[in-house]
Amino acid sequence: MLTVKKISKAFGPTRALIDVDMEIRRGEIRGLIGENGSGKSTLASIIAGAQFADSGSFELKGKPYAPRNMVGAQNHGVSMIIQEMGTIPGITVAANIFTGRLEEFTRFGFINMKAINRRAAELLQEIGAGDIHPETLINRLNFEERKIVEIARAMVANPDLLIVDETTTALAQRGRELLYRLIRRLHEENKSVLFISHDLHELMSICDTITVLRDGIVIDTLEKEEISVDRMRSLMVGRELSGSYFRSDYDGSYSDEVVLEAKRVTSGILEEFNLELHKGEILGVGGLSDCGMHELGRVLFGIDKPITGSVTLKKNNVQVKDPHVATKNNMAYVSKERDREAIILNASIKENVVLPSHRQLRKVLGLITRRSETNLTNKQIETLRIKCRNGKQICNELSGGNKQKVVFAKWLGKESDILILDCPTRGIDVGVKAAMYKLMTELKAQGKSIVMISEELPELIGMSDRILLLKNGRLQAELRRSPDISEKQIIQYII
Amino acid sequence: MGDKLKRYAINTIKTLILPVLVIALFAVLTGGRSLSKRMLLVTARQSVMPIIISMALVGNLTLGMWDFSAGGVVLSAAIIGGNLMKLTNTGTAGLVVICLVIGVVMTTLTGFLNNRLRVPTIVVTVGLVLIYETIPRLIYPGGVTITAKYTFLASSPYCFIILAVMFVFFYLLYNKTAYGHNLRALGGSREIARSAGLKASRIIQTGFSISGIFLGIGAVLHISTNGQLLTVSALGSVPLIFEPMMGVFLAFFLSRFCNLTIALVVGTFTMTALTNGLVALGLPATMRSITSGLFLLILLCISGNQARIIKWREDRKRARMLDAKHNT
Amino acid sequence: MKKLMRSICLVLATVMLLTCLVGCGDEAAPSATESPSGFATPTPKPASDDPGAEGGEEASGSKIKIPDNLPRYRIGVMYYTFTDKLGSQMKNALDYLAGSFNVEFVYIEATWSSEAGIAALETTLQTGLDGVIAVTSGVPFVEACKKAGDVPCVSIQIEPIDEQVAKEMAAYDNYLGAVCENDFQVGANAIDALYASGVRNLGIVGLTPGLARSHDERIRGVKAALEKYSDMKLVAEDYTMAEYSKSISSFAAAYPEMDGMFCSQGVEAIYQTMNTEGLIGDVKLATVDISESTGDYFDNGTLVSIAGGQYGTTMIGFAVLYNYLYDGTRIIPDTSVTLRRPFVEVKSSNEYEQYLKYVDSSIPVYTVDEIAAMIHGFNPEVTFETFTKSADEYSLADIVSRHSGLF
Repeated sequence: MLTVKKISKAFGPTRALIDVDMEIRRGEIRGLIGENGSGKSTLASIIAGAQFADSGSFELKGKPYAPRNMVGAQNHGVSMIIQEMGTIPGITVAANIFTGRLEEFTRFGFINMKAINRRAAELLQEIGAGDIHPETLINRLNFEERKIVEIARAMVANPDLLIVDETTTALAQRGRELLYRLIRRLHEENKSVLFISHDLHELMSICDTITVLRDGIVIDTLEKEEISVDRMRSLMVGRELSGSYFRSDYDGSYSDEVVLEAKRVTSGILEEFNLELHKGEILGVGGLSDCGMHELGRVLFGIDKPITGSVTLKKNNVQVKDPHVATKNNMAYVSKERDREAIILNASIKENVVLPSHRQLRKVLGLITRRSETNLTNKQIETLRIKCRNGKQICNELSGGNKQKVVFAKWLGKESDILILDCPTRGIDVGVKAAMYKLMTELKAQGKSIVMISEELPELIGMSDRILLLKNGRLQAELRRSPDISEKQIIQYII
Repeated sequence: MGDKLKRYAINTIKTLILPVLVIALFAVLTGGRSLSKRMLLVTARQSVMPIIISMALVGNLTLGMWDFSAGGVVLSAAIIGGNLMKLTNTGTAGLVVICLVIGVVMTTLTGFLNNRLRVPTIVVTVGLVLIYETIPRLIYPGGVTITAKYTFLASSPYCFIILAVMFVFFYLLYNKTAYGHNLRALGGSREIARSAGLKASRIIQTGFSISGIFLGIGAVLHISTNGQLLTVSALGSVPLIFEPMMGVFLAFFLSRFCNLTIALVVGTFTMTALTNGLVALGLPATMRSITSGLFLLILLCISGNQARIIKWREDRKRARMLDAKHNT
Repeated sequence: MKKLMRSICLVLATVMLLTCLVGCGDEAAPSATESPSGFATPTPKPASDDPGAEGGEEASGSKIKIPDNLPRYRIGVMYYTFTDKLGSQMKNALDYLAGSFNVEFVYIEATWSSEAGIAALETTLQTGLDGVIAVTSGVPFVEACKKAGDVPCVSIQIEPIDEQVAKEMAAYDNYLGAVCENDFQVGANAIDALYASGVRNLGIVGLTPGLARSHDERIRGVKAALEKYSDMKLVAEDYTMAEYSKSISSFAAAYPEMDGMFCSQGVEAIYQTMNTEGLIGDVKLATVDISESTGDYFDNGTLVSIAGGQYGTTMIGFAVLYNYLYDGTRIIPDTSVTLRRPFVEVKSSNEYEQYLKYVDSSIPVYTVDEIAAMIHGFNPEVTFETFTKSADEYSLADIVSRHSGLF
């Protein structure tokens, strides 16, 4: 289906892709994995026509293939579903699906909205999302539904090659099922899929073959029988990574001292929730995506004001009313909505990292020296292995996972005592996940307190001293750290 | 079907409640003076030109572009068009054609420069308005005067016929053509629209050129209303677009309940009714400007924060309920 | 294609730049200037000819002899714009006098901003002026003239805003006084005319208060005169810059009992709107500033009184200035007191015909000889009383009687 020949791409001094060769066969579901910054999304976007390669060539179905833009790629049968939000606000579902193609439904200059809506409804039905009405304004849909609309848009041109770029992280159960069904259908139709994901288990279950990229180079392509999680991990990071990368201990102990208390907190779906966080504790909070755990994180940090109840820092008996109070009292917050809430994309790594630490960096007369900023930044870059040119690089240019590292670095640099982490390892490759978990363990040992909100059950089980399980905004169960806790056990509480 | 009809009825009420309230309020305050058939007709007639100019502005505002040269185009087209009409002795038909041509030529230039110069539209158009105001001063420094024989288009029913034609044109353009949909897509997200294959510069250029049609008609109505127009300088033409712009903002608010085309008519009519009501009340000009401005500000504040207000009320209700449950 | 686009852009940009320069040059410049800076530059007038006297001839047997070899004076004239009716009448009248008095007039357009006007004046003063006649008042005006070398100056059509300012201005040696129309009286006279025509429910449309003192005075005169008539009431009033037609439309709708209107400025839009609203025949009108439609609206019975001919004030202002320039005569002894002059008031179609013939024609309201007779250096008998007498007599009838032999 697709032959990739010696594709290279550089962004300034950073070589994102180096002589990449790859062949995707018809009907093949090819997984593409690699650490953050390995070049996966770059390769995908070049294939999809979103950017140009510096050198190399493609062949699609045996003919030279060089798309000028994404529409050109679609016309050749190559569609991509991107990682970030890709729908246009303010217009209908049908208009979103057919943007750029409305002329196909035009006669004597007037478009036939009925035909567009009809075709959109058919498309949505085909992919299993018939409950989404084509005339609905896109703003009325939630994040997952909008992603589904994007999937429909990708399918408009009936692609021969569908590229899925880390889309499943944005989807809940329903959306994922829909996507998997679509991928299987394409496979049955002898069409190809290039599937990019960090979820190794997901890749294993879906893909026929998996190509591993590291530092812009193709390391290996694993056939079905060769695929294993350990093998993939070690190829990605270039070293053997066996076993679990979570905490190895099952000592779930922590101090008796309560550092943060939430009493009768109500916000959104969360209702009259109580929580006590202890010194040196990793408190896991889990459940389905809409169980209220993300609202809990925002309330604990003071971003959202609770309708009832309060959040109190026990040390100084201070009520957390807003993020200013929270940060002043050495609290930190890593938001799930990274690009919107956690990082300033148009600012440099340094500017992001030092942002909450100005008070600590102040010297005589309140002045902050460049050296102190640089030192702090470089330390975090090293600790978290942020792939970048230097601290002056604009965060917009970083890969998704490296952006997440910058977010983490921001709070680590401040030496916060209480960390509220909402999906902290989302979109992060396995190598850095391991490093982050190690860091969390070290923070616990230092007496720091962590609330870890996560949708990943292995992460909750592997890292938490206690796990609070929520469903419909209420606490369903509290589990203590133990080797006997299983995902099966957790699921029965949260579903 | 029943639900659809119900929703339609509710939206119609929501659309019309504002102008009805404004008219009713002033009817009460002026002891019925502002409620006469004549007053409503006058208000409707006075709304025609601002509505048509607002149709020119709304496309660009959808893309977040402020076109401050629109007033200059209207004035230039009116002065030059009026003088050329007299020179060529082509009568009202000639006036319309010439104003249209001048309007389209000028706005095409605006669009061209906007695309090429790569500076914000507000900068380009403020610069251009000075030029557009100067052009008639160079050619016809005395402005233009046309006799009553050629000014009938500003009076009823002709102005309403013009409005109806432009209404239909705008409605079809905005809702039934690919251009209209692409415009809204580009306004929603330029990046995503571009990646979907939309050519932003082409849509912007088309938008500006089309706005020239509306501005040309606006010019015809402007000269027909006044009979005489003098040249201006130093952004003296900008006030021509204030009322239409207010109409557009109100229309954006109302477009949640109805089609934007209808919202433009209703919104601009409401602002004109407000102004006329204040005149009937005997309020001086400064107070009228303050009142109109406050009205718009309050309306847009409420609309922009409506969701928050509703949420706040619901939260209070829920808190009371939970507290009661907790205490029992 | 790219090259072609670039060329087009370059051409357009050049055209734009040139247009800006030319257009901006028009802002504060006299007519026909080519000033690269865009500020006012002088327009040389022919020195020796008498350019204005087309058609008519000077009255024979004039008593005042204008000496030969008059000194050359360069006089700045500042007005809002010389392209509207009044501005062009003013310019024509001065051009008419220029040759006979050997004066070069430099026309400065002030636009409607006093700051812009003063700025334009200061710039022009730098080019060297012997005197200034300006539609502006206030200490900044006389200061600017003083700083430029004690340039003598006269205010026309605008007087000091109050007594205090008048006194401050009078303290300047180079300030020769103010010559203004009697706006208060013209407003009062308009009400008298409207009342006489049967108007009992009056509407007033004017400029935003404070924008132009002359308009404020007219309205003051109107309201003072209204008090005389117990059976005439004010039903509606509106003061909005440049929105007359809307105001009139709204009045027509909200106040159907209105049977008369006073408009402080007779713009064409008023007539147009009255026509559109069907007010012709139902509503009488009195206004200021005679325009093209005046005759038609007398004929259809709408107009009862209209005032104009203000450019005569400018000619008197010139006389006041020239008196000083020629032999140092300060014709206005107390410059804190304004020399007031009436408008030319027209009250019928016949009078309008006379206005066109005697006021709005190639011979202005004062001939060269009549102005020469006001110059002390040519006519030692002239005094301040001469000026006030001429002012008291000034009217359409007066102009007709003085100039009937010329046509």
